Amino acid sequence: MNKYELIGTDTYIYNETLENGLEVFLIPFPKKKKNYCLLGTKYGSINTEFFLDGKLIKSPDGIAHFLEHKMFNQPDGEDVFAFYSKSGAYVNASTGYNSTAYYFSGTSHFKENLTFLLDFVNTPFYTDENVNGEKGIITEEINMINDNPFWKIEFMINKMLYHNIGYKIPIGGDEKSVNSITKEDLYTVYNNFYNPNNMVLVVCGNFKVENVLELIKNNRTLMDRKKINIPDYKDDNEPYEVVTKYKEIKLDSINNNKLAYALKLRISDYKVENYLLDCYLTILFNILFGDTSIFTDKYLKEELFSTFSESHKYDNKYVTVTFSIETDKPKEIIEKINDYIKNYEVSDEEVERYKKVLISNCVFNSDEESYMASDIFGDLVSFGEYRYDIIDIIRNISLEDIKRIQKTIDLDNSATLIVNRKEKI
Amino acid sequence: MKYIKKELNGYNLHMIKLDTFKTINVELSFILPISKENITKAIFLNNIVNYSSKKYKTMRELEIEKEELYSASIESFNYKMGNQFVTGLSLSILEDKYTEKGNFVKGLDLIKEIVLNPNISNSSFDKDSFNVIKSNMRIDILGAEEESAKLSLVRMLDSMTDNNSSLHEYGYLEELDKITVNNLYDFYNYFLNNTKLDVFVVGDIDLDIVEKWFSNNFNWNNNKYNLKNTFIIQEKSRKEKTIVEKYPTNQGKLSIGFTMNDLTEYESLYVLPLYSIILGGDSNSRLFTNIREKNSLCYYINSNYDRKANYFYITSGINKDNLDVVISLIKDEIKDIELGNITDKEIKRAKTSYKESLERIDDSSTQIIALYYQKELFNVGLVEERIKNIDKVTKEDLKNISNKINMNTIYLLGGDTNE
Repeated sequence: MNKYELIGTDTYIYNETLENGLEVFLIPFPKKKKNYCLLGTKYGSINTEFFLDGKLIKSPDGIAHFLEHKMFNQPDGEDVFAFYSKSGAYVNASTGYNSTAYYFSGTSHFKENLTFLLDFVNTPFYTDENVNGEKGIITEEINMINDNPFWKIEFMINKMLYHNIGYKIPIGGDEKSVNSITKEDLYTVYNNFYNPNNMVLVVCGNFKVENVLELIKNNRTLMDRKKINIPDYKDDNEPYEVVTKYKEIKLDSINNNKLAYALKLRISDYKVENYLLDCYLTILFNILFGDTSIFTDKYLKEELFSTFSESHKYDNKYVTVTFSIETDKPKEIIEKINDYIKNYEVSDEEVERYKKVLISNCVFNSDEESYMASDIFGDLVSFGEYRYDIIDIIRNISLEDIKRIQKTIDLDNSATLIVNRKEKI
Repeated sequence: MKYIKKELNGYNLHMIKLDTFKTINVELSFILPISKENITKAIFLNNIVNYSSKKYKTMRELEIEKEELYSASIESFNYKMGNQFVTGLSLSILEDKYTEKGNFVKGLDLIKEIVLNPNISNSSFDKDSFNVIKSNMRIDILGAEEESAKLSLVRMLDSMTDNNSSLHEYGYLEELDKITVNNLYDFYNYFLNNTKLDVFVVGDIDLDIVEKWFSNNFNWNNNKYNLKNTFIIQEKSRKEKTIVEKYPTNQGKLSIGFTMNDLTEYESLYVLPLYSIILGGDSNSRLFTNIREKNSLCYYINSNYDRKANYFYITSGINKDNLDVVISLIKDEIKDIELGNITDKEIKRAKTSYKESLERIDDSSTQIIALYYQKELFNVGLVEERIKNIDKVTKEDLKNISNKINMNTIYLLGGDTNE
């Protein structure tokens, strides 16, 4: 077991990869009462097409999310919610584009609850009856998400950005694809992507490291599972150019006009590793458009926009930067955004101040079990690694790094979605 | 953990010293009487003081100062509390150990600057800041309606009662239109002299330094605020009414309101939470098990309550065509509890679940503050006392309380489109 210190945060992380491939992270929180454990797989909603014995398999859209729901049924009749409720612990799961995670949190019965996490995620139990019974529930979940204008806009802009990558499909699929899912589909996905060799366990809480490691290694349900080679996903062959550059739509469920403006950038243009590119982009876009930016100060006052947020998301070849804005003047604001990206003179003072923010945020995150667990799992999924030396990496970032990244950004490959309310209030 | 309360110049300072966290949290909570006007003005005031002050004229300058204080955050909050409205600020700042000496005190200085030195001259708030806040608040109020599930709840409460429990905490456009730079200044003066203030400081703090800083630097003008009429008394519901309203959503957003009548303090503090957990409080509740798991009629269904406003409610998202069957299943479960058909296992599970949520309080500084705040305002017991009382609750208690919770309004919003 390797021990790492997250320098400057009083946090120690213990890491070991088990024989069957499971990556284990143990993080003691000696002053807390609560434990938080996450068991996740690097399989999400976009991974529907893959090769088995040379043959291309195409699973229905929404299968990763459907499978997540079905892990909560167990063969002995006591479902997962019922088990955790006996100790009052909280249990849930979530499906993302590239990953699915199961987690619980509680202040007592830590050993039993961790054992059960390892047991239930390693025990698929799908029947025609329990699969069909889930379809109505998931249909209502999809309806709920479709009623949320922010999600609706996210999928619309993704559709404009991606030709092939599954980001363009809602995580839950649609009513039709959900209704087509069978127990056989679920077992195929489970057997190939819920293998320990594709999974990560993060245990945070008040415990002795040796005891927890022993508990994990003595869990038969987990340890009896043999390592397999994870099948290759079908190459998405995603072209660089966006699908649709410009679109205007009207929605009758919104009151405030909205804009989504996205840049699809080629990662290889930046010649740095993904985790570092992520730091650079975070610093750059906060300086340009964050709460301390001249941009926000000026254009909020001029009422060019009322809310503004930026996010970026990675795939194999591209990083897309999406601006979500509430504005009545979409074209003007896009012009300003482009102007700032192209011409704003970033200063050393700004870079140093935002580095301080990022380092401080590492300390804030290290104070909360669930943040630590999702940071580690999230980085492994997005970047393929978790950097223990992240604080040193941030310290070493220079003004030149940020300027170089800024210069590389290509403003031509963009998509613009303007969403207006149907009737004037 | 060490708790010390000091009565300072017109307010109470509550200090909670513990070494659980790497951060220090400071919360200032102000209470004023609830009304559409006060809700809207209090939110406006909270927004504008967090945007511009005497020393930090623009939001940019304020935000730069927070970043300089090692990414300190100051969040504003606003919520209803029966016939009162609570508004305030919460500072979260790393301990000096993780930053530099004096950083925490600089955070206190910043809070003082925001609350006591807003950007006012000649009896009026700064016009530029005022305009930004006013137009943004309009967007916020309109934006709240974009969440159809929340809108359903707001409209249900509106059709259920004429008293203050129907007010919502987003602010009102008709009140916003009336606010001017001058009457906002008058409101600020009213606020300074008439609200009840409690200050909480939680973390690994030096008690002497904190107390000295507050008594030397921070004055307030009111320690005689009357909380007597905080609890709203509801009229007893007779027969429920059903309202179905068209709205452009795929899913019908269901909100069911119940009045709660003549609950004793013991019932509202200890029996009510257990009743809610058993009926619809979590993923083992009767509603979750029967409406979702057995009948696949919804994805979410929850029950909840407002103790101070004396109402109970159930929310769900359903297919509009299933309204009757969902209502009939919900009524079956309520009836069953009223008849006393509650198993010991259910009661035990609900008690465990509620006690667990009490145990977790120690791991969250905002929850620790909420605990001591309820103790301060309404003398609600701390964790140990609450656990003791929870253990006493019987099946008979649950049966009795269910007869005091009466269905008033079934409200279904939307479910009319398919896109």
